[in-house]
Amino acid sequence: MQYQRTQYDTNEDFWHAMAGYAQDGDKAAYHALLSDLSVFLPRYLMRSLASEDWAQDITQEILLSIHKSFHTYSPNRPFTPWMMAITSFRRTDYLRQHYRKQGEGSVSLENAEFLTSHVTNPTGAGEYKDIEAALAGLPAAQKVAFEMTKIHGYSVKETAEQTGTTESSVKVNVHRALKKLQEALK
Amino acid sequence: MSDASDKTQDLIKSLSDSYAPQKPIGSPIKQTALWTAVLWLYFAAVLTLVMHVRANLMETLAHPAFLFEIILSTLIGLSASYASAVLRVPDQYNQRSITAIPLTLLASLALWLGLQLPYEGISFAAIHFNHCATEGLLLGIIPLSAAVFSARKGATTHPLAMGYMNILSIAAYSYVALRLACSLDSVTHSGFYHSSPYLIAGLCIGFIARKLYKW
Repeated sequence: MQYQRTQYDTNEDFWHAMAGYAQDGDKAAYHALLSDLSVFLPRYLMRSLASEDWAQDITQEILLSIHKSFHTYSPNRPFTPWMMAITSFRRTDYLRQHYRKQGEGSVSLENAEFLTSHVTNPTGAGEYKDIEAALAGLPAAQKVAFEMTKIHGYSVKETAEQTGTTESSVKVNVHRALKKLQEALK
Repeated sequence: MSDASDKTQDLIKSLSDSYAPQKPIGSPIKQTALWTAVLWLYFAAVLTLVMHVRANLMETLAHPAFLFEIILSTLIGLSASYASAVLRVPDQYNQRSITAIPLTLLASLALWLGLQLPYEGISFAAIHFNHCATEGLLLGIIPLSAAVFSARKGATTHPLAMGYMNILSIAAYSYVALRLACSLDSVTHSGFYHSSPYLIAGLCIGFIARKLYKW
């Protein structure tokens, strides 16, 4: 039997139906489910990843995980939260292994060399979208104080003079910016 | 279509061809009930054949403080077992904060025992390989191995929490069993000798949880 995505209103309706049929032993439904997920997942993952190859690698791991853990899904519950929990788990796992292999470890946000060679350097920009997005999300005063002291290397005194504020204010803004970046990048 | 995309399609074909429906995992309530029943059958056998219940058990059960401790520990064991069952499923049946219940009960027990210390006084006898520690290991090793083996059949996305809930459920039930067998009611004795094997096991599980519950 041929299952068409267009016969269902939402992704959840389609996936829930296919998962139910698959658990009853319908291989065609299982194939339709995995095929539809193989289209949805890379698009979903690309929102937060720099590389399409990464998205495909993680998609493959997610599909394998769904296959291994399908017996933990109950047809009387929605499919999407179950699938998204696996997606989030595998995505985090993949990125953890990737960064461990790269030997990046955890780099302090006070590491000016890291910031200048990756964050403000256009060639590395795509891979560190998360950091750049977090910086862009800072309030103006904190962003300016952070960039001037930590990226461009100005002293606190020079930053205070250039921005027309006090040295205490600059230190407070830098501290708050660091905290917000740490929260955003957790 | 890229190479990676081709590989994905090949993977889907291979998974679909090899797909065979498996029996779905049971509800967490059923799993908890079954696990608790089997565990207590094992404990009953060990208590009867190896350890023997304390001579003054009936008299001690009449003390409200003792009864409170036993009931609280049992509730910790039950809630931790339930949390383990929930954690076997990737989305935890949408019960994200399920571990808060056993942890809160554990904190209450710790506080309860701690409040008794000023009345008893803290007396640390020389630490030795007390029979309670060996009996604790006897009560705990087989059930813990069974709990880990059973949890690996699931698909947890929180391996550390799973490890801690496994340990906590067995430690709590084992604490009850030891209190029924050991006539030493001192908080320092039960806090150290009854709990220490599980604290050590918990530390070890913490380091290897991700590998232990890998799927």
